Amino acid sequence: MHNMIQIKGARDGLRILFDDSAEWPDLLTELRTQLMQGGNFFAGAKLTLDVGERALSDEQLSAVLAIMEEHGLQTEAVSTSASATRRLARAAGLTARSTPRPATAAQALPSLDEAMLLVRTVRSGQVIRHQGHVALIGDVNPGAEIIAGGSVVVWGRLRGMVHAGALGDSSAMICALELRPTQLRIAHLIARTPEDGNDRYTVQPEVARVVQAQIVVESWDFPRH
Amino acid sequence: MARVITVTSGKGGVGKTTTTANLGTALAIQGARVVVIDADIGLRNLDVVMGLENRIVYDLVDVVEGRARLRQSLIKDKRVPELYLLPAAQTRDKDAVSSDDMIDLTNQLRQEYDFVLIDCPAGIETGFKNAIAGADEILIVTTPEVSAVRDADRVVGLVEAAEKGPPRLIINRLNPRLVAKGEMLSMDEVVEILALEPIGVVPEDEHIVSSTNRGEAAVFNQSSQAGRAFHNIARRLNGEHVPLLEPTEQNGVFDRLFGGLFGRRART
Amino acid sequence: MTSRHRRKSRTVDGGEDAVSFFSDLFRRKETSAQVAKERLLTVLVHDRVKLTPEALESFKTDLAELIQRYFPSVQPSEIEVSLLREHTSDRLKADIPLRRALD
Repeated sequence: MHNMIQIKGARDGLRILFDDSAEWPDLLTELRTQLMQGGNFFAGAKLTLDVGERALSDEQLSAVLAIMEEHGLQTEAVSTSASATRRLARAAGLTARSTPRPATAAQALPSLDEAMLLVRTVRSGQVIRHQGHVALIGDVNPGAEIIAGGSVVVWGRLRGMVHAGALGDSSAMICALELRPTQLRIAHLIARTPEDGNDRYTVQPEVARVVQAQIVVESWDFPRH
Repeated sequence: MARVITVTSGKGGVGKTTTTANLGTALAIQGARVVVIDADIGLRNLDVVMGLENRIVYDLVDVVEGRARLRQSLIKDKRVPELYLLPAAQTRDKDAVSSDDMIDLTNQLRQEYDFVLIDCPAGIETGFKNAIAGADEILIVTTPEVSAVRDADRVVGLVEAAEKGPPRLIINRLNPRLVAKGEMLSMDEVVEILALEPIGVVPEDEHIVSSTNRGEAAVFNQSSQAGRAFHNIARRLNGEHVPLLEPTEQNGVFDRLFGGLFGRRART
Repeated sequence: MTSRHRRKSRTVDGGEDAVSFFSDLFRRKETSAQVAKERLLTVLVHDRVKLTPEALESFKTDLAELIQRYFPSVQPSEIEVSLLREHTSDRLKADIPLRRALD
């Protein structure tokens, strides 16, 4: 059931894939749930709806677009192999693409387990958005954001904003060699660094995770079970 | 009903953000309900100048695109009650917001606050046009330098074309010692060149650097000359008659007099 | 020879010193603030009326031609055209000295 709607990070934004065989009303319900859980994850992303081989009626397309709009999301493109649906999408002022999906894609996307490795500095104004885990070798500068469906590992200084478990997974973790974020978010929880907490002299690797509905930060040496 | 005031300059780096933060804070200290808006989408700074950067959850673009309610996105100041910040988005660009969005936004805020101050991005493009769209009044910040004064004049023309009424002038970072030596334009000269009514002159002050470093407004610092100048501008905005004097190296005495008066009033 | 030359050069130096001394006292050097003000006044008028200095020059030439048609005695080099910035408005001013026609 979980695979009815899949979210895939692409170079130009996010792709929301609809399963070809699922029942239409179920798809809409699932889409609503996913958008509700991951509101923050989608915010500001360029969104493509990939409806696969399904031919949508005018009403069906309007229904999906309406759901997207309810969540404050702007759909940019519709991707489908049905030419009638592409025509409808264009009429609605969207970009229409016919990118075919590889036949095996539906099985090959275990969305949360997919990790992304980056070697770079993420600078102010830049956003890294990925539906799975993110591993970064480099720094996250103030004003930069990492938004991940899974956990985030920063092999460097974390000074910007990281949102792990942005699709609702509160078991996600955030760790960094130097954890001095402007803010951390895990699932729906938000934590900021204390105002007077700037006088920590020892720089050490730390992990942030959710313990009893609170984000707690512990040193990497902390005894773990 | 709030007055919506946009702080603009044309040229970057003349102190718009510092001015917005200090005027907003001074007005709130003096008892007004104030919202300051950072309209510099993509290059937000008002949050760090005010020391509120780690409290941001939603921003202006979230409000405009309907992901957050306006009230949710207002960040309460650490020290002054009734002072709120609406931060800009850092990861979006200027096209995320339209002039109509800004007009809607300011109209919503008018109901509940006394002042809405908008920190305008540098330049005269979309961002500038959006920032002045909802404004009732315009304050133009300039420094006594040829490039800043020239750009200020350009902005005056655009503000007049937008039928916003005559803007008022804030001359920032004036150095009385250089003015005395004839090596810097004086307040009177800048006023004469731009033919605008001045609402304040802010002397160059090292305290501004240290206040900004700490994320605290200079108006909290009783020994900051610039802080006192911002307090005086806030009082003039409130319609009080506060004499406007060309700062000299000596007339720090006058400033101190007003600063002292103010200090007592603020505590009551 | 060398000593005379040296003495001569010394008096020259002294003379220069004296000149700069007097000029500082009586003919006040223009301060950079004054220069800034003059430059700004000029550049702002040009900005506001969107007139380039080149366009102003060609206007002067055309104007001189026209004036000469009616006042042949006017010397084109004596015509002065300037843009002035005044408190409420900007002004284009042409100063054309006329010579009395000789009987």
